[in-house]
Amino acid sequence: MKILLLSLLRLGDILNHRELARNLKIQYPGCEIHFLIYRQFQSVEKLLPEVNKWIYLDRKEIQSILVERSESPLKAYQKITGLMKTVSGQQYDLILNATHNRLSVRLMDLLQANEKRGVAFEKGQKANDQNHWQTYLNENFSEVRGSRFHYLEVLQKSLEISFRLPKQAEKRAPHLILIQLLTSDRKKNWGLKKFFALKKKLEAEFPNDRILGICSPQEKAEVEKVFTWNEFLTPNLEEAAQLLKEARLLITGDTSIQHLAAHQGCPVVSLFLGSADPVKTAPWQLGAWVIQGQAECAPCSHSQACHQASHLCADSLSVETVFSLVDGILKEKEICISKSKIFRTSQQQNSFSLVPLNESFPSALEQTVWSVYLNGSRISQDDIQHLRAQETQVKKIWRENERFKLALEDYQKGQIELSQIEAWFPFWKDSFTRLKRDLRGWVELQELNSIRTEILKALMVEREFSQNGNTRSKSEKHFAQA
Amino acid sequence: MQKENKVEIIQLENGLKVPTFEGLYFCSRKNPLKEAESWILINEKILKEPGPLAILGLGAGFHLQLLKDRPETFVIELRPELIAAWTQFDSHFPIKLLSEPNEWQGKVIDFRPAWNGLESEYAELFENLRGLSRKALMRNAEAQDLWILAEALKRTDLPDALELTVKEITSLFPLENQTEEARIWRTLREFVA
Repeated sequence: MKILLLSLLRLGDILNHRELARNLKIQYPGCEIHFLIYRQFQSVEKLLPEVNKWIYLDRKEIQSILVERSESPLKAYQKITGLMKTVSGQQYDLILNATHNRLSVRLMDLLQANEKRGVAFEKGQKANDQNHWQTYLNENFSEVRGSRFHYLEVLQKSLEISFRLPKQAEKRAPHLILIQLLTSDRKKNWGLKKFFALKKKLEAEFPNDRILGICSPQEKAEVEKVFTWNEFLTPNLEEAAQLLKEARLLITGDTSIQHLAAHQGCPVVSLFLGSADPVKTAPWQLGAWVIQGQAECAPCSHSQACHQASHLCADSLSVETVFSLVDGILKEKEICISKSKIFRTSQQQNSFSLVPLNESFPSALEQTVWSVYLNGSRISQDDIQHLRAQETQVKKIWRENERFKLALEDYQKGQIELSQIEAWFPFWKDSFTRLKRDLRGWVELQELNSIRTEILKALMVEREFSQNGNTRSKSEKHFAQA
Repeated sequence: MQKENKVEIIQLENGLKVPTFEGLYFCSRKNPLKEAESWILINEKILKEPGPLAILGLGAGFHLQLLKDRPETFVIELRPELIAAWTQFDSHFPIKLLSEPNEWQGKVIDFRPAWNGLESEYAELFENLRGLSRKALMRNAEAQDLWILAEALKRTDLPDALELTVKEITSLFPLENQTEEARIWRTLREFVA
């Protein structure tokens, strides 16, 4: 079987798509996997051993022909027909579009295969979504909109690739701690001076580790303004992968290097600033840590520059805070940070999840409801609108009523019946009545009951985490006051 | 002063020897070196891009001298007399001349001082080689069997010399046109969206 995967995004996305290649190899034993990528990312080749063949699209050259207009546009036309010829010559059984943009959907319309999956045009018209996950991907990953699931989970389920949770971060002995100093997007940067101060503190606290900054060769001049030549390296991708194989920890922003680290089993602490949304693009690894900058405007739009007078979300993360987190992780001690949003990547039911360390909010609940919903067989825009309204209501309930959580705890202990919860808290019953109404016609009552059970289970998981984390005192204090 | 094939080699006030043909100069009379440097500066971006490049106009060759280390650089000159006299120019060094300019497929750049006296011939060739004008596109589309584009270009009342963008080409195809040709142009449009 021959499969072509369109990966026409940036470097980090191509690295992420390795997960798809891995799972496809398991799903279709003996299959041959080819990737279509932009030629400018050719250096990624050796990092994805699962890919049997690489096909390149000369985006920059085509853009140069069409924008600078020093050559006939017919030359650009020939480039596309050349690509079509290459693809048809391969006689693919399956083409998967792992790219979510208009160029890729138009290419999907031109490329030939026995079967195509993913967002596509057919004869110039947008093809129907193949499943609910694809609708969800279209709705939540095209613009600034939150998601309850990681990009890779939604992508794999939308492409009907056998989904597997990522591996756990490896525990490694003191040796090397790496700091990725810059990101490709200015508004995602924490600041070189802050990283410098962090490096000095880590050096003092962890004398058995070598603390090294890393950046791409193109970023060297900028980094040299703050760091001396022996304090950082400029590895190429292959060299970076080798370093990450040995490093005890990577501290980074939302970069492609964090995904490379996840491949290598290197534990990651990611600083999510600007447009970086941790639920969507956290490192694909269980046990990774994410700390998110706090600002009214975060996460902001991907395509726009920061419009604030100062970089608010970056300013909200102090060197002390990041140091405390790293110190707690490396010394395996309790992490007591109250001013920042900190998450740990983990498994929740059969989903990849970000568990908040110091804030109780119903991410598990939201994920569960959506997961059950999206795994169904039909969906309409109205359904999505209803469920979104429903979810807002549940979120409000959860935030406003701490007593509800404690009643659930009693239910878990077997001290009360579910019917009692519903009697005490009519809003809970009401919300389910609404849910039943919204979903009538496409889910059976039995399934609704199973959704309810799943939600309760999810709430329990959250509560269990809460007991193990540092938030217990907060909820108990609230209960005592109530 | 020497005479050969009607080309005269003239010594300028600054001492440089440049060619003339029937009284026409093909570079600045005052400072051809500065002229060449300015031309390089104006066209810096395209000149720095790797890949084959044809330069339309030999002139006195000073602009080519500044590019002698650039690989895959070719020259198109429409006056055979000027080519024959090339070894007598002060800027002389080995150059790669294109004998079949109409078949050139790569990028092309104009050195207009060298067009003196043959402006319309050079302009037509330049337009053809760039292939951006409606007329050139139509002819090239026909040559490449892109009949739907050729027909669409024929039907428009746009001037022959108008250079079309990919956006304008795409707009020639109504939405109901779902031929492969039309869909490829719509795909190309996404590269500049």
